[in-house]
Amino acid sequence: MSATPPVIVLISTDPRASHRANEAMRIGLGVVAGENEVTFVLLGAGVHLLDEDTDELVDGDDIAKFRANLKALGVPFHVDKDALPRDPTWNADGHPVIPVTREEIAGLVQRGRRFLVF
Amino acid sequence: MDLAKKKLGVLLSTGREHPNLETAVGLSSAALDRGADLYLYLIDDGVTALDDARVRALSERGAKLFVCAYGCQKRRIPLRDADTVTYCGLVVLTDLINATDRFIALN
Repeated sequence: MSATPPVIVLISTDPRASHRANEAMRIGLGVVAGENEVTFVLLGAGVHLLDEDTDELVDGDDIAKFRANLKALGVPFHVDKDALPRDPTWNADGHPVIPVTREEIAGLVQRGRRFLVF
Repeated sequence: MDLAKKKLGVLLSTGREHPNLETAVGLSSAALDRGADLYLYLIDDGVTALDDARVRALSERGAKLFVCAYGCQKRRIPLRDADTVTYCGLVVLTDLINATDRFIALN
C-alpha cells in the first residue's frame, strides 16, 4: 500500500444523462497523471461509465478515451456491488473492476486524503 | 485554530445557479478573514462563476483564482483578465490537491 493515502473519486452521476460523470473521470485521470494514487468508485447510475455503447453516453467519445487511458495505467474501478449491471455487454472492454459493498466503500473513504464526489 | 498562512483549496464545478456558489464564496471569504491563503479553482460549469462579482472580489482580496482553460474553451468563454486570473489545466489542480492544508470540492 502507498504511504500517501489516495485521492477518492466517487461518481454516482448518470453518464447517460449528464456530462458530469465524464468530467469526474477526466479530473480523476488528471490527478492520476500527477503520479497520485487515485481510487475510483462507481456508485448507482455511475456504473454506466463502463457501458459498451458509448454513443448512448454524454461525451461518449471522451469517456471511451479516458477509460482506455485508465485501463492502460492499470487503474481499476471499484464498483458498488448493488449497482452492477446484469447486461453481459457491460464492461465489454474488460476494464479491471473490483466489486465492493457499501460498507467497503465506506472503508475506502475513511482511508482517503482528498475527495471528489460527483 | 490559527489559520494564518494555512493553505485552503476550494474546487467549484457547478454553475452560478447552484447553491454551491454561495458556499464557496462564504467559505473563501471566511478563510481570507482569518488570514489563510486561499486557492479557488473553477472547473466545468464552475467556470461561469468567473462572472460573479463576489468571486472577483475574492481575487481582489488576495485569493489566487484558477480557471480551467478546457472548461472555458468548451463553453466558448473568452480568456480575459489574465492579470488576475490564471487559466490552467489539471496539473495545477493536482498541485492544489497535494499542496494545500485543506481541500474542499464543491460538485
